[in-house]
Amino acid sequence: MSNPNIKIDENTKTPIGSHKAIKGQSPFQLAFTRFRKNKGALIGLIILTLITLISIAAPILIQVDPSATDLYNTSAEPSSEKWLGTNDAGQDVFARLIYGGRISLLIGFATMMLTVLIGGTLGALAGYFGKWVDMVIMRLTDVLLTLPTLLMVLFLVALLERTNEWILIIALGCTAWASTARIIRSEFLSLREREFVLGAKAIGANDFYIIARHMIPNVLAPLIVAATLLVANMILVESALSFLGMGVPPTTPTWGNMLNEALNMRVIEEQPWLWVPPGIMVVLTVLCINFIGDGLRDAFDTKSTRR
Amino acid sequence: MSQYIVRRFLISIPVIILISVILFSLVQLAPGDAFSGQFDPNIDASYYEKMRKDFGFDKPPVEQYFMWASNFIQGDFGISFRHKVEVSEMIGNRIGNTFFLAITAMIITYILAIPIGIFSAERPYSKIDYTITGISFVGLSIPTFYGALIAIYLFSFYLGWFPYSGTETVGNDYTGMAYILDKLHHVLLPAFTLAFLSIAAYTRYIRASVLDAKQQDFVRTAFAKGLDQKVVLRKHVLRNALLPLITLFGLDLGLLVSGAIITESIFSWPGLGRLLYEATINRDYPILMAGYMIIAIFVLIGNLIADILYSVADPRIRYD
Repeated sequence: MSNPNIKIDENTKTPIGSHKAIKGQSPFQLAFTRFRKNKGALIGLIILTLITLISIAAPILIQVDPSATDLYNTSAEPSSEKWLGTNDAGQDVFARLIYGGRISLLIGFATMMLTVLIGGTLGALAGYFGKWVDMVIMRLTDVLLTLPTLLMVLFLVALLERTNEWILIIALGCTAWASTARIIRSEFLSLREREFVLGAKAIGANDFYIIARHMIPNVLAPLIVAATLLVANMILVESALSFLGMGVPPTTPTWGNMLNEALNMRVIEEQPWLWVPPGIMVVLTVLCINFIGDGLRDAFDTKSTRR
Repeated sequence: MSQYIVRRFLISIPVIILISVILFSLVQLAPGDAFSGQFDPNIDASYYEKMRKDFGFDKPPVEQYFMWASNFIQGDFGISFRHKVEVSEMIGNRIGNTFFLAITAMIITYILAIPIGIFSAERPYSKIDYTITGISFVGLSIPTFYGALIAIYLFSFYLGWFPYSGTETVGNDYTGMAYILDKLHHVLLPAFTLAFLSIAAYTRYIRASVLDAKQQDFVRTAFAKGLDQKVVLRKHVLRNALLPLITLFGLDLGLLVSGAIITESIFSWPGLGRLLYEATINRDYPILMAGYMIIAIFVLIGNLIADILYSVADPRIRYD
């Protein structure tokens, strides 16, 4: 029997006046709850995790050396032994497909991190300090946003004697940061005028403390969404670069490089097993990331409810 | 208004100058010049020295930049390292093809995306709406070059409907209508490939925009007055929903050009994109510099036109 003297709050099921602290949920916990309900985003996350794990575990899963050439067995059709056949050099296409994910995903994620680092820092500086700092950084973003990323990277690559995945990551990071910087700058511009920042300034907090403690936590949500979509974009740009033969050296198996082998009308017509699978992997990966990005955007954006 | 246009135009000039400075510095930092690749033992080394002097490669970089800039403004883009032809002439020969391809792609985008987007928004959350939204979401994830490969495989090899290379049938000297049809026959497949990404993006955008406009108070008022559904859609919803498309037009210009590099290379389309691709492989810096500058100028003009059109079309927007 419940004690009739204690009233129970209908909403929280806790006794009123018991002073037991009710733990609220942080915005990130709320977003996570919303994200979990988004089926598309969850499926995307699961498939992306699978692709990532398989790519990482490639040397364990695949016993065949992806760059080993078998000159007696070139351009073979798919068979029970070589699941996706072999290319013109007699390399196992299936092994190359699995290994290819390693470089493509590495470039996607590493470039995203570098881009967020550069774009986030410059955007924060521009938005927080304003004046000439803002002026200089914004003119730089104007330049980078005028010329599409793919064109800028192609220009950089054309100047270099040779490329590898790390050079490519740096080249991509140096050219793709403008949109991230714009997002962070506009967030900082509005945050700068808010009362809690003014309050922090009034009690004598220094700039670094205000940025780290008050500004950055408030831009995390849009930053995470932008970063997720950046990974997809960078994988697309990398595959396009490698496809054009201007990306990772052709000896390294990447999805873009495998598609580069199909720049030949004979291959397109007669050997679809060479170019269809790597393309599907790119599309699938990018699609998963786009689903996750959309799910994150919906989860963080409290205003957007599905109509 | 005119004051706004002038100011908006003046803002673009420093951007163009900055782009040229950055591109020029990058080229200066790159190893080698026009003559380092073509060493011929039969030619005396002093010849190269003389040529370097004639081209002004021995002058300090700043001076070289001003030389290049003043030539560029006068329409002299230099001479191709590889082809030994005036770059302005090479670009002049190609740019028409790129415009033809890009404009066709834009027309295809508008013809397909606007009706599909509106159709989808008229029946939100129905099966067909989900299908359209789903397809356009997948479409956004397909790289242009992969779309091109699939298009060639399906429409050129499997169905045999469209040719996969060139701008016209070689050897046939068509005239009049037959010439136009032949050109169209060749442009459709690359243009559709180029437009594919925009179609997906536009469809999503138009659907969201129409759905948003349908929720506005003035639409409810129009319905409350007893207006016909079609009239409300045409006069109230679409006018507001499709207006922002004008701004996308300017932003699209850059996308079309960078997409053209890939599309033109695959379809052997003799345009600016293919020229730039070849110049990238050959490190033909004069072509690269001029090509990139022209693209940047077009993108900025596109943005400018979009801004002006938008302010003309939407009286709510005031610039002071």
